[in-house]
Amino acid sequence: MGLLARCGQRRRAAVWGGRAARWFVQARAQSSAVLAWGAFVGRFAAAGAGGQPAGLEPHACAAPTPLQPHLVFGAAPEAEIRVQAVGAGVRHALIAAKVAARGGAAGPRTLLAGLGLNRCGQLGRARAGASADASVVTELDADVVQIACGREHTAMVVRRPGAGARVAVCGSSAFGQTGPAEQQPAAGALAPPSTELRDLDVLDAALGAGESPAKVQCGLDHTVVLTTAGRVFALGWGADGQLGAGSESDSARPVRVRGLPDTVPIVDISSSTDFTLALGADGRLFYWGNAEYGQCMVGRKIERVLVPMEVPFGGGRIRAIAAGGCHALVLAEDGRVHACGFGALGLGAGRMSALLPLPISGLGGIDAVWASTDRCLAVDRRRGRVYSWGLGNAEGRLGDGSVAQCVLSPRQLDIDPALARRGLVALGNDIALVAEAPAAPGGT
Amino acid sequence: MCAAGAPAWRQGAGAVEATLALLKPDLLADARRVQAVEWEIRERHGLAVAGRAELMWTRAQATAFYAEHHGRPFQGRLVGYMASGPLIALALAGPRAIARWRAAMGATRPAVERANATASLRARFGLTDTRNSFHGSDSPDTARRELDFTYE
Repeated sequence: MGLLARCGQRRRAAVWGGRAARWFVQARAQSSAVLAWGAFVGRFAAAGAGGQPAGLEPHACAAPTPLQPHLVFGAAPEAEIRVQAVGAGVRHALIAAKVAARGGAAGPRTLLAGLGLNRCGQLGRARAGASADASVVTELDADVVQIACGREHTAMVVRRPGAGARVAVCGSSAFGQTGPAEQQPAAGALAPPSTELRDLDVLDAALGAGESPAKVQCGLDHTVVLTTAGRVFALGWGADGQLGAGSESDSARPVRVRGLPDTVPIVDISSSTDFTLALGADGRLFYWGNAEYGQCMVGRKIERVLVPMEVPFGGGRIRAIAAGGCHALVLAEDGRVHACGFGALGLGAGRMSALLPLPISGLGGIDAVWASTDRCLAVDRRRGRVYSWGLGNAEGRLGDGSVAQCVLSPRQLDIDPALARRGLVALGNDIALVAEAPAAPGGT
Repeated sequence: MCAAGAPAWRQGAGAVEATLALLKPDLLADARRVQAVEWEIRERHGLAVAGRAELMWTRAQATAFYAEHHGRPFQGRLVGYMASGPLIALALAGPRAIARWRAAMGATRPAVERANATASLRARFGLTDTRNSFHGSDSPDTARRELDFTYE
């Protein structure tokens, strides 16, 4: 952790004053800083942090708020908690961390902590206690590389010592999004079929020798896997062509996404709702799934795109992609963000829809973008700035302090620049997390 | 999917109009939101709940319920979605219950509702056009058919 981070946090801590500030400075010295805003996260914040704007749902935070990691992980206050990965979906979020008891003889354990909704075990497994607000903590035998969350399911890339990466899943299997259902509801019980946290074994048969998962994305009810060979597989809901397999069928087994180039590997994928963007190593952009708001960037609305189509992009070489709900973002190499579709475009109140990608004026120098169903996030790593925009809700999900209002142009959030420079980010439908990344080379 | 007993709307409700409200699978993921919505229906919107059933449809039942949409492009996803998890069916009763419940729900598309800064139930709770949290009968004839379907 840089000196600047420490100074920045001290400065902010001083504003809150009292017990919370003393805790925060102390905790900073040993555990990762975790900021959060949106639904439920107030349960795990320092006591007295932030105000409660009118109309905000109970336990929501309308601005980035430091969480107390030991509350999230149910650990002793002096435990050292180093975050590995974060993920957020619809009213649920997960944090994976190495947790070490101070002075303990045993080595650090890898724990997965989930907060928010858990009807289908999307936090890893069923909640043991009665309180719907308690976090669900599961010990893992693997390191967590990356987490993606859907509506009621979760998918992660995990790595065990001495083994290749695998995909682990939990939550709803109503559409097969976590593979074949493990638990059919008891007779008479009304619940979707679901799965406790487990490896997605059905993926193995689809992978070639030496091929392993590199990245996983969750739409609301489907899952997309990018492999180290640059191939893409999908499972779950397919009614809008979410699986890119040329049909409207669901599948509990990963199907190879069709129509992507054979000779050029895919290097990135993005999905949050009902469509997926994929980026080829040669810079080509592909799109499949729901496109009825014209978020497919080809100048017209399409009911559903069943097989990936190539999308021409005129804004220069593509650096990053982010698939939202009714909208899509493309980050060009020059640091400009282009938006297309409807709603959370960031193009101002006069531009609620666009059938071709338009650059967001006043927003430059961006290094990374995220999108969820009706919202976006962009980070300028060099200057340490985080921008948010989209359609608001009563959980204060846009993080700018507003409640249930739309923010139609990017707004800078109150986040420590040092954390913004290298933080891990998870953008869910109504929860967002920014966590101090593990100290590693190339952390940008 | 059978509700216990004959709800009041089937016993000759006079001038009182009846309609079917469905709380969809996305809303049922959050038990506290379901509670809050049911409270609002009674207390804020003044609609009487004459019948209540928790149910889960098969694809065939969902297809039959949405028979009028047969052949429409959204029919497949609507049917798949409505059969994906439990629902709550409410028989709502009151003067102009059909129009009042539809006004409370708001228009079909939650993102458009939010963009228009509407405070409807769908603007507040809906996720996408398909996962839009609520259904309401659109006419007295439809209400009769849908209530019969749900409570037969």
